[in-house]
Amino acid sequence: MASSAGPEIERLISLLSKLPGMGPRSARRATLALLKKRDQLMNPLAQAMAEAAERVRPCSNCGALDTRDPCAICSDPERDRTLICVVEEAGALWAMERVGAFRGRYHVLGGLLSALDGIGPDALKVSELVGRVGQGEVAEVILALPATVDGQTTAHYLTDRLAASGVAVTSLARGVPVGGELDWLDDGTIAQALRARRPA
Amino acid sequence: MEWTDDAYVLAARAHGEAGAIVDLLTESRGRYVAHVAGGASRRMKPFLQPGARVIVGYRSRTSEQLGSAQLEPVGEGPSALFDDPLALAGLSAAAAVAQGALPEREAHPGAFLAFEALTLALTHAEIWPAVFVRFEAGLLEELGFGLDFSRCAATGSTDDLIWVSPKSGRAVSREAGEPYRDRLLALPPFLLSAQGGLRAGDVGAGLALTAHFLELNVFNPLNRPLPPSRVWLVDKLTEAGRL
Repeated sequence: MASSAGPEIERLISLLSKLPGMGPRSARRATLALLKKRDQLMNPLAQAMAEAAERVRPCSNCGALDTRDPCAICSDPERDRTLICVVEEAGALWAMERVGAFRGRYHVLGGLLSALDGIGPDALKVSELVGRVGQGEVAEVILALPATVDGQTTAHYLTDRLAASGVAVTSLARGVPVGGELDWLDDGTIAQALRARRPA
Repeated sequence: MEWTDDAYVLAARAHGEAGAIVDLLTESRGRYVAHVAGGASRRMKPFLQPGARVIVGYRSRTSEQLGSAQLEPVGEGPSALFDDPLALAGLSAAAAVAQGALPEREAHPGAFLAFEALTLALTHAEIWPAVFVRFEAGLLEELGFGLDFSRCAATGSTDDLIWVSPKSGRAVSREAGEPYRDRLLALPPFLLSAQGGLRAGDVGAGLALTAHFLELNVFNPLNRPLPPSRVWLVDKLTEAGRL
């Protein structure tokens, strides 16, 4: 495609278009917005990205992304050290933190066991989790993994691996979401909710 | 090209940000791969899981291209097995074996029915491993590598068939097979007759039998090993003392 912009602008558009939620057209709009707001947006963004690229690393303890190691959550003395919430990726950790209902610590597995893709336990941070639990401080491990075949296969595997440690292993409930109307829910969710019913 | 069919999802992987490429086992058209627009959405994700039953509406401009599919879920799907690790392993293994063994766009209605029978059996913990063996034997038959347990390959006898020749896949009687017992595969009685009953070791023998012929006739010629999930299934059943 012929371009009226210079190579620097085209490169910026090309890189931005690789981001989730962006296509070539939205990348062009974003580029234009950045160039128009050079001081308010473009320069601070470039600086923030450079700093993040330079300083953000996975926490050596839990795998969360942070500029500190151990991360802010692991080094927070207010956090309950007896609780570990196991999540698939950092995105799930951020979702849990957004809720603000969990005050324990995390463990980011880095993926899920996948029989179809041949991803085994060695590809995940499973032994690191078993090691953390084995230190004796942990009383409960909460498995906050996706309600998918791979997610639940991983949950069962972790339950087996943690059985010898004697800690309580729990998982998130499955069922009707807040604001969910039954006639819009899939059959699996309704069946799961029915099985997990509790006294009203 | 446009059609509608019943199908099971064998696998799904993300395609772009919103779509998915879904591998389907259809009832009358065999294995089909299709693009599902919005496959990564919250509405679609629950049934883009191995073992989910769907009604597929398939469309493509030409018969050669990758078509697009619209999926309508039928029933609860694999979430019914989420609390049973062995059944989940069985479902994953069956989906992976079907995906790896069946060629695309070749009608195999028997494979669909065998997969359906297995998915229905998976909630019955005592019987599904034997049904899994029958599913794989049925898959071999659909692919033209059926095992022949009708009579002894050496003597023609129909009595006391307890071995299988690892080369021909034909049954061998106790008497004829005795001198070669180290080289023959065990034939569990439940594969001879539905009334054969299940003894300790039968499911293990059946899984070893079908694994041998799947490797020999299907996966080795494709220069591929048995799917990892099939290997894990045997490990899990062994750990659970079910073989």
